[in-house]
Amino acid sequence: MSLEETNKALVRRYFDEIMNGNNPPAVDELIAPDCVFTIPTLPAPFYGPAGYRDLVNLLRTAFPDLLFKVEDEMADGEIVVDRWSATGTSKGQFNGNAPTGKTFEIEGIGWYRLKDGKFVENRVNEDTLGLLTQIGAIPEVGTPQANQALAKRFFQDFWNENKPGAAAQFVTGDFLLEVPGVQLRGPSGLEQWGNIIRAGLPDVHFTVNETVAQADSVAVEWTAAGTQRGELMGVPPTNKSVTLNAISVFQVANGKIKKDHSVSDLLGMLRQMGAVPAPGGGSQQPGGPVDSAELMAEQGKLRALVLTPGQGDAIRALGSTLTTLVRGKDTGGAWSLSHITVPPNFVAQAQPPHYHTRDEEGFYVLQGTITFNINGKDVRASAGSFVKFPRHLIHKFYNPDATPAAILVLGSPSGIEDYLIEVYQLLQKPASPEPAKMQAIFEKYGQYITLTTSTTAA
Amino acid sequence: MPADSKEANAQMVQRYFTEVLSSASLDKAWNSIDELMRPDFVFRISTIPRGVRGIQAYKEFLRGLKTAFPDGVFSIDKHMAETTRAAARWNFRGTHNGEFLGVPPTKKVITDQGIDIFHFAGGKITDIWANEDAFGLLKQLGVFH
Repeated sequence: MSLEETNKALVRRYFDEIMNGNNPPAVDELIAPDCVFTIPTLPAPFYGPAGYRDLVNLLRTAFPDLLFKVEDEMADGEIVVDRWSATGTSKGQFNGNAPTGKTFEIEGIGWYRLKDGKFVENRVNEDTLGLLTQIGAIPEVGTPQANQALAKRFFQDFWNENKPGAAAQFVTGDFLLEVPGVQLRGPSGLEQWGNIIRAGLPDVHFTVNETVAQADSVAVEWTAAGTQRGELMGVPPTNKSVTLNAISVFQVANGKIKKDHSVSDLLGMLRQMGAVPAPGGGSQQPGGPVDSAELMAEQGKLRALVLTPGQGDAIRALGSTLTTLVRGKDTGGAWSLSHITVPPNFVAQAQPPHYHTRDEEGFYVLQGTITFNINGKDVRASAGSFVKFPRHLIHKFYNPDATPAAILVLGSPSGIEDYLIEVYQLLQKPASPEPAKMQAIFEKYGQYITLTTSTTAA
Repeated sequence: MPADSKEANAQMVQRYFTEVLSSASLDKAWNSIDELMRPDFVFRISTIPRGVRGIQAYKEFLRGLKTAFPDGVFSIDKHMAETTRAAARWNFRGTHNGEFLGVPPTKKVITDQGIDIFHFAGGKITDIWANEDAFGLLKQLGVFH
């Protein structure tokens, strides 16, 4: 038998008796005392028969059913090369990874040098990536499941544990962070954002509530909770506990986050800080039923607003009288109510078509007939009529009739009453008002005059 | 040198690494591919589950590799041959300038090593099985830690 055939037969014995564990003592017969075994999967080389016993023990502990099969073999002089396949089940620790019970099937190529019937140098390459992926030791790169796992680790390592280097670890060099009003790039941009959030909420903790993944996108619904001990969103420290609910959509490219587009309930957080009034009044929490003792105790602190006829601040301009009945300070900013008398033939003096960006407006006609122009179309509203405009709907009102009219104007949230007061104060002055001053008032209250009424403003 | 001899096979392996894998010119590499490989040649590597089938598909694979590592060079560490088979241990070094395995360019210089097995018939390469350290490569690119 040629040297090559002899050596190939020894390689088959090596797999059967040593690697498949059918005759462990064969290591002393087949492995030379100075044999070196290397494989990229495992860190240190294994030396001699003792090293092989360690290697086999390590592999069979991790994968007790480990089975190698030689698929192809060739020999040239003292060298044998073979291609093998291996199957097994993860039942024990491997490379520091806990067992998962998952099975694997991979291929490898071995390069063996034999001398006098013993192995002296064994170099193996195997599908390490496939092995670790199949047994679940590392996430499968690029799958939606892997991307979900990545997103969760990102929240834990970067946001919760603030691990050094986590930004560079989780995001690409050209990473883009997009949150309303903020656009930052790269790992340094992410770190900058992290510093801003942690300066405001040093004890911030993120909880991932839900993740959904498809292709290379992951959507994460999360809640952040913390104490506002530093300035945040321009609000000085309040020491209040706040929570922020948000959804982030990550775009992932091979194990790294390429883009983070997040939208959050910033308004809700600002309300918790007390920086923005809550809808329905002040800082009151929307509560369940109030128990009667509590309700009775509250009574002494509550005040009704009672206005008798003629009461309320009145301003007269252009023949119209504005009487402010309820202001924002009376309702925690929730709503306001104003009374306006509109003289006959009040057409040219009327405010041109406009829309509001901040508030809704309701009109109750008390007397006469008011003509509302709603997005270019006139609607006559006689006494007892009610009209409500949502934000952004273009409107105006005027009185082309020969009879005087009166309306109640409800604004929610409050603000319109202050706007009306400033407009009437400006119109009161004998000189015709400067357009720039009028424009400044419109802008201050988020109102926009339109030249066209053909469409609803965006 | 007769076709399907140990020597001819060893020389084809050498040409494959220098003229095909390490060539700076795709045109030259494609000429060598046409000379060295049978049209129904199959290249198998674990990162491409179904393998690369046929010369044309292999040319596209090589274009991708060259885009990812334009200065990439393979060197043969050791080689051996039979009359129908051959194998080589190789090292690779290149700069990651284009997307590779889905990883955007990092500009990092990376190294890799592997063993390739070749099958020959009628003086041409019919199959290659490549086994390299993709896991180590992705670690160098920062995908795993």
